[in-house]
Amino acid sequence: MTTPRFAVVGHPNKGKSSIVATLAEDDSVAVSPLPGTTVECRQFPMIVDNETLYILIDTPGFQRARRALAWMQAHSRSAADRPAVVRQFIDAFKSTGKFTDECELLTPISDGAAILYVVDGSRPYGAEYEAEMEILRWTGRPSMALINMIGDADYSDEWRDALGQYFRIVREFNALTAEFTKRLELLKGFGELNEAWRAPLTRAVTVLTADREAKRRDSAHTIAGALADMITYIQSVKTDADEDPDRHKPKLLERYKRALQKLESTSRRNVERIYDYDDLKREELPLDADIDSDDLFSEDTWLLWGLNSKQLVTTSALGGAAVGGTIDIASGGTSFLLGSLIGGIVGGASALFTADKLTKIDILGLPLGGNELRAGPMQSVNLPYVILARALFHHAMVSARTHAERKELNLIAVPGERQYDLGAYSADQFSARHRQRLESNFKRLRNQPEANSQSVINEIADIVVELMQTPNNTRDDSSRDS
Amino acid sequence: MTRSHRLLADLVDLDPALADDTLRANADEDDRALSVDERAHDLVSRYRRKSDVDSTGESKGEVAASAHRALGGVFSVVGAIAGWGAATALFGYSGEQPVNVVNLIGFFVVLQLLLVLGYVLLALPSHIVRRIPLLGGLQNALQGLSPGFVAPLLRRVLSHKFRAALDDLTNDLSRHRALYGGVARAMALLWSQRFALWFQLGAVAGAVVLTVFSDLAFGWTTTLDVAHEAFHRITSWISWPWSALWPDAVPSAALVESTRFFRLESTTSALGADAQLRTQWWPFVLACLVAYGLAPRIVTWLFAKRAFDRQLRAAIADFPGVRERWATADREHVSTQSPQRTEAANPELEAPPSETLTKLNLGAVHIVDWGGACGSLEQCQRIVDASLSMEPRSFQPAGGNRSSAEDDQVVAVIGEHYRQGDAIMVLVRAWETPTMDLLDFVEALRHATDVKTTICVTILNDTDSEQRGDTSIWQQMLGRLSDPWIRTFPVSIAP
Repeated sequence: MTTPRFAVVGHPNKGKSSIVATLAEDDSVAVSPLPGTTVECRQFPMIVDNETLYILIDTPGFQRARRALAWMQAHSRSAADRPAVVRQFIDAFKSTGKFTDECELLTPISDGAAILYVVDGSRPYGAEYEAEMEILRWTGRPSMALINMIGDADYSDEWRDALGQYFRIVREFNALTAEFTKRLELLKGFGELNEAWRAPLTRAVTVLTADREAKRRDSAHTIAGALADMITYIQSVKTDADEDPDRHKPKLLERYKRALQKLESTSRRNVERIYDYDDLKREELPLDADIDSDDLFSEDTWLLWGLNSKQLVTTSALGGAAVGGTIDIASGGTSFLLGSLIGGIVGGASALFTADKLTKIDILGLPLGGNELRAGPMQSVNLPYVILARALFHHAMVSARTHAERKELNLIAVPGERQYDLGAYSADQFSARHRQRLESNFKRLRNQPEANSQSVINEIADIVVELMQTPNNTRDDSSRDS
Repeated sequence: MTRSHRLLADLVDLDPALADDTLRANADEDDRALSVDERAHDLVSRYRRKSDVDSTGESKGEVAASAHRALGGVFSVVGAIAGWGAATALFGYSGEQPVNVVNLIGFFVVLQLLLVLGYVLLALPSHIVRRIPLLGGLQNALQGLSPGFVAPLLRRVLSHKFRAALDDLTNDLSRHRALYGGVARAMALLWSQRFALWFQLGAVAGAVVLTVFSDLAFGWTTTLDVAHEAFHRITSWISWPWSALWPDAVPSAALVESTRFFRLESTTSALGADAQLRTQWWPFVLACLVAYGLAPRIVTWLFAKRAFDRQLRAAIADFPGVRERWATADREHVSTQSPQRTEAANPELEAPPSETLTKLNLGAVHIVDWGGACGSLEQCQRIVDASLSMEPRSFQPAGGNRSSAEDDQVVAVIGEHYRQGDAIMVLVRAWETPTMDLLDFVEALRHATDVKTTICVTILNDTDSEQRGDTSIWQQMLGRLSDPWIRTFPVSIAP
């Protein structure tokens, strides 16, 4: 059985390359408003462990469809010879420079590829498309029409009426906004073009689904690792014995913050790479931005992304109780759960005092003279949740983005100016159960980072996967304020 | 370079290697036969070959590994000297009082076993420590007593280059405690075991030298009321590990009974006729050094070395960026992208001409309605009336689903009725992408009329087209004809 091949064809500038970029998850596909950007065919095979399941072929658009059709009509005697006449056309003109684009796009079809014909459903149907649709019909190959909704208007009904006369299957597909499930549905639809292609395309869907799940897990682990690194991060500076150490504190704190921001940025880049974005440009505010929309350390950022005050106290208490619970268990119950009670009280009280405090700066004397100022680990109860909420939001934006999109990834969280519901991603939406598990892991990191880190990172990663899978981050509403 | 040093060097050089995008595509990295650290080593090796290294040809990681090895050597030397010194002190015999076997047992058996126990407690994995209350605190306290944690002091004897490399390494390890904390701890424990191993080697060497090249007299004494039978039992228990292999190293009851001494007794009476008998303790003493000092330390050193390697491998596997880099190497490798991976061209629209016409006087004009943009002359006049002044000479449809022969006919008709000074207007819809079909038509019009005939492409824009900048697309496409007499004239059509 030959490998299924699909040539994506159509009028220039109707989104052929965007559809290929989205289906192939390849941002190296040139996408431009200028027609004629694609000048030669480019193949996008789906390969699983050296086995090619199918091949998508991006093609240039029709440029002289009417003249090409006129030539073919002049050389055909009946419907039976039409595929051969198309082949004849390619052979006659492929080296002449006259019908360069038509020869280029028809060659893979003449060689056996199925047709995916792309139109813009946000524009009215036009009779000028009929010449190219007629040429494609002459090839005799299985075909599907894709109505790509580029603009806001909807003329899909009149397109369906026209396209249904030329193509076996007509589907709508928005290359810029298609969710992952929609892409899988489209792939399954390709299988309907040829009975023999169903098996490889079904396998392709299965593999892509598993791969997507693996990417989510990898992203969760990346986020958990970065979060652990940021919580336990220490920035230090050595000073001479005769220097006033307090003089260095502001600068040390600034360096500490910048280091955390860099760790966040690195984590974001790694998540983007997991989803095959090598150089995704983000719309973020610079580190020293004055306004409070994306500064990791601004009060508004904490309010937007972090826990509310009641949750801060209870979450910290939950974490303290979990630690105290260990003592209860170890004492065989003879502590009468006092460990949990005391731990909970201490934890809750500490949140009141430390919620807004990023870190403390210790001044340590060095054995050979001088001092070392040390900022870190992170003391704030809220900041780990802020970081995690931002990471979940970033991951949601990256995983939902299609590779046809060329705009920068907008991560600036200005309340009221976004189309997304940021509230769905903020930490105050986490369930009490998630917060308790997170807090106990954060406490373990703070208390014994060297000893616990790998197992903690794995546990945090498991929680992050659960948070990612919660639809729109809807949480158990009854536990929202507890 | 040993495996530990290779891993350490790779860990230090991994960050810049991962960040180097030119090293990204390498099919060998996905070889499933390779472990993650082997893949990392391959990547780092390519990075080192590619990048500029310092004048010695060593990368930052290789220098750090060399520095680590050098510091390990310092620990060995200091340990050996300390062990030799301890043996010399404890085996010191001036000829007055015998060497007290009780002291030797206390230092080389009891204390060594306690120190080994201390190492075992320090090396316990976190999941066990977490379950036992106060054990974490005990570990922290023991850390302060471990020789490995005095590395900052011993570094001072190294060269400036090595000290700087170790400073950088320690700073990185201490900053990222969650990622590298295990490495830092394992490194300190390895150094401490190295010190301890060489201490034992030094002590054994010292004891052997003193035994061979001097005559030592041993005895045993203690303030406690211990009968010689009880002491014989103790020495028998201590001798159990080698009792079958080396029976002579097991003190006999007679030896124990006859070699007790008290310092208050005179030297002569203490030694007496048993001088040669007193030398017979040496096998037992040496066996204690080897069995309770050297042998356990060989085991703990090997264990610490393995633990260090394990931590390094784990740090490499969990290094930020490694997981995403080699994520597919251990599962099905899925690729949907083009193997011809090139930088996306993504040509941008050029900015529209700085001068945009809002009014135009064409005079006598032949109108072509391309693809049914307007539909009729009346409709056309309605649309352009306010902005375009003209006297229509003809109105003909072209393009759309009309044949190319019909278009040729339109060109011929216009050519036939053309008068000098006439203009031609081609009405188009902005959102319908210009193709070579249209450019061919415009070129044909040019050939059928005059080189200086104004051909005005009137671009009808709706709101969407205006937002998308479709007019710029038309302007850029028509610009390919390099015809100075082609004008473009955008017109908004109300919804």
